[in-house]
Amino acid sequence: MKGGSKVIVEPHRHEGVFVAKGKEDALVTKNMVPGEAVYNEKRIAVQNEDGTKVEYRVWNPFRSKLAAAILGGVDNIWIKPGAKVLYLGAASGTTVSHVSDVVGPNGVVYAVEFSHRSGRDLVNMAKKRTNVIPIIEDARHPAKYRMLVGMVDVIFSDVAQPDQARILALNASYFLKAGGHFVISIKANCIDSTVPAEAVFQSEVKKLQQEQFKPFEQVTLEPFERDHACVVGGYRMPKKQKAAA
Amino acid sequence: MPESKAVIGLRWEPKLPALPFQSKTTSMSGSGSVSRSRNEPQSTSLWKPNQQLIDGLFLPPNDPSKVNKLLRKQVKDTAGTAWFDMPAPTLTPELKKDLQLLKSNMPHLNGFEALLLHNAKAQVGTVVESVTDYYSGRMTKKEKKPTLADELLSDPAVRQYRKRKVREIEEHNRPAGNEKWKIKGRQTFKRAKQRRH
Repeated sequence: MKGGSKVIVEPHRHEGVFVAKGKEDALVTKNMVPGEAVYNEKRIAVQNEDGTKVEYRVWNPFRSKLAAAILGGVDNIWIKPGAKVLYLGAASGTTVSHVSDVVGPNGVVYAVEFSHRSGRDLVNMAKKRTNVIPIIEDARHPAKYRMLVGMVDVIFSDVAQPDQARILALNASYFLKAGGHFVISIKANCIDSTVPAEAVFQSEVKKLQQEQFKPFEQVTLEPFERDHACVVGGYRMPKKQKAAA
Repeated sequence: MPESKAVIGLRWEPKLPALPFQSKTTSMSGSGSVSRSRNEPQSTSLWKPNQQLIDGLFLPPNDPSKVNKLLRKQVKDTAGTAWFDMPAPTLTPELKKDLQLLKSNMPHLNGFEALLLHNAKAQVGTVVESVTDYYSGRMTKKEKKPTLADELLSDPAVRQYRKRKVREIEEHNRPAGNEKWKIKGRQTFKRAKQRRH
């Protein structure tokens, strides 16, 4: 996708996400801060018929596990315009910036990152985006940032720690509403590099099930990441109503 | 809602003189009334034909269902709040060509999806040139084209493929002629019998 080439932007199946079609296709999100790229990604400028200008940013699946999951064909990411999202393991904020694009001005993204070095980039990104709240804290201790975060609809977790299921459960017990959803990316090597990846994914899903999580689906991020899986599910899901007799 | 006000308010009949060329065509053709009705543009929210005006004014219909229908027609078509109200574009011939080209990229598309394409919410965008791009990431002035269709057609790889396909089809369709009966060289299949003796 070279600078100056023409593309056609269409809505994607997932809410708040778009596709740019041209010589090559790309996943894009509507830029909250027109004229600014976060990590030197390509941008697409569109002029509407009424003269207003809109800008989209290309979402690279090799740099973002959420984009990889979308291209992997996940049924529902639950992150949509107006949603409140808790993002664990925000790193430099590349994916966070796209999540902030997806939820739009009515949504909120609480981005938690422990590392000060990458947290610096995260804070710089959040300066320009009003719906991102950066939190430089350890995700293992949600009590430390409980005053900053309200109840959220979705938790996205990309922490790549051996105890990531426990971290997710701890944060969900504090912030995730009953009937909310979670999206977790599992890197098999980070949990146990001695057993095959499928066994690791299975054991992680088992751990999640013990913590009141209900996994709906699991997709592999295969062409983009090696031995990664993305699990999507619900938290404290309400019991299904029986059909009236 | 501004659209609802537009319906209830009165609209003046535009005092436009009849276009001369239109009357000429009607006089020349045999069945004047038929061609005239075809020539007249359809009534829009801005312009109504004379028969629908009352004393030169547009009155909204009394029937609430008809008013609702009129209102629905005037609401701008968008992709919905879930996609930040992306507006539907007017389907210009250029845009239509682009969409058809994209469709031809997807052979699995069935009739229903092709129909969806007709009222697609799509915007034409340009990839922003970045100053940090190296030469390989930029297009030359000559390579830049106004539409996607032009861009795809000017691609040398596509042009080569098109040329090869045309040549293949032409070769396939060419009548055989006497080439079929010619013996091409001494070591051919047709000389086999002579070689044996």
